[in-house]
Amino acid sequence: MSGHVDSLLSAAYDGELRPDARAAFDRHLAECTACAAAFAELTTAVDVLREQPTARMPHPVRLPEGSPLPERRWFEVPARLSQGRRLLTGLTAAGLVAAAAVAAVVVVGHLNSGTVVRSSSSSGMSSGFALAPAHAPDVGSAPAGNASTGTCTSGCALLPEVVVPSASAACASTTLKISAASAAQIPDGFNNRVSQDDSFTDVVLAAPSFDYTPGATIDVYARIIDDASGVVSLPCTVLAGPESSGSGAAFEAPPTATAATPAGALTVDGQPVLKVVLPSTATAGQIYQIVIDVPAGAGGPQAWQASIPIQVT
Amino acid sequence: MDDEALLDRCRRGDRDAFTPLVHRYQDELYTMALRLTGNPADAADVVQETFTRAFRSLPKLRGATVRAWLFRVAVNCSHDIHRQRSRRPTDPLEDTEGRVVDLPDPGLGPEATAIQRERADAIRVALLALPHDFRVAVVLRDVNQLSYEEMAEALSVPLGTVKSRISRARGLLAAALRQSPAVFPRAEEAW
Repeated sequence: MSGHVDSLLSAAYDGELRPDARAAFDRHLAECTACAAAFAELTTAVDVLREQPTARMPHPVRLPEGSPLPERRWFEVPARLSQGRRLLTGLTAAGLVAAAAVAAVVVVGHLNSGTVVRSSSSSGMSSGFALAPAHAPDVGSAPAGNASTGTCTSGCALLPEVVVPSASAACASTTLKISAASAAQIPDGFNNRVSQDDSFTDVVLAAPSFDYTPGATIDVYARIIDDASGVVSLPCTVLAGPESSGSGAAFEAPPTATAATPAGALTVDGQPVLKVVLPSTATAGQIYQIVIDVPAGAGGPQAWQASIPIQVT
Repeated sequence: MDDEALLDRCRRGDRDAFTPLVHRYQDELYTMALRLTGNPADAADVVQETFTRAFRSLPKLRGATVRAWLFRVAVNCSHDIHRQRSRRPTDPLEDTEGRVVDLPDPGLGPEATAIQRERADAIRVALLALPHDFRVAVVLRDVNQLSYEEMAEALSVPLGTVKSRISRARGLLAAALRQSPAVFPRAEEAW
């Protein structure tokens, strides 16, 4: 073995060197006092650290009230949806989606408006949001922009990272930067929802507004964020549905995840798209929950869910 | 009952299944947090926050082992709390509530007890001097004795990164302890 073996000291300490490498390592140490001293020093230091006693938690851990399961707000499927097209809900849906290796977007009923957590940044788009979907739906109170170029008409400083796809589903490689620690970098005016912080992968969902009129199309953005490294920026994902104009079909989620593939497929972090179309029969005051089934393999080996509320005005 | 069985019960809303997980891991996590933060009060906060987050997020646990997952949450909590408390710098040499970890072994004589205390102080100072990522690496490996694979899972970094961080961290730790007579008695004799 030529040269010094600094890079092998740690592996040697752990016994991770293959037998032949370990033999060469030991031969080198027998001839090289510097490396032998370095290995002895590292061994002593690590041994001392390892010898430190385990400390005792000084007081009992206090657990939150209730059960470990988070409050879930699944609610009744709107009566207008036929029984044959019942929506995927809850964990069953996640499992189905996982099996199909896709993510489906389903919209589940309406919430008691009193239970909705409304983002502080969801107070409407009147400040100059210019994200206009390619298919010209109503995006709440947002003023229309130039969809083909993503040009802002005003208030562009608030949206430096957002570029609207020129058409249809593709989002190219534009980015919407979102802090992993919070949704602070989501452009002002966005209705957004960060999935519960579990110090794990999070999904951030964002829509241009909280309020939509019946028949409106809702562009839903999503990011998978792994917060282990702090702030991340992931490719823009416009969620665009199988319907490019307002038929409401996106609400009538197919009964199986596979039926959502490929046109309505949502893969997260990179490609996929969904445009949710509010039913024209939606009534003012209803609150809908757009539920994203994150597929197995997208941020974790198991499927899970994230959701964002919107309100019909 | 093993972790996975408890986890399964937790997912079904069984609150009582969570308590054994707390008892099983609280001291490990506390020790880790103490080595990372250097402050017993912060370390206790880390453990409390870790289990609070875990309790709320448990149903979302995806794939990772419970142990690696708890360490991951705890590392993040340590980082958060350390940042929050950075306005209150801790002198690692001060006689803090850290006596809980420094209780002398009753079987040791006064001299050995003094050496043990000096070593603990030296370790604390040396760890706090390490850059965060390296401190985490050496603590998870040599304090909590996680495997490389568990560390990769807990830190969400590739195995190679785990190994290189451990290697670098140990080198820095050894260098930081080099002048400590309690750790390297020969250094004292040379003076």
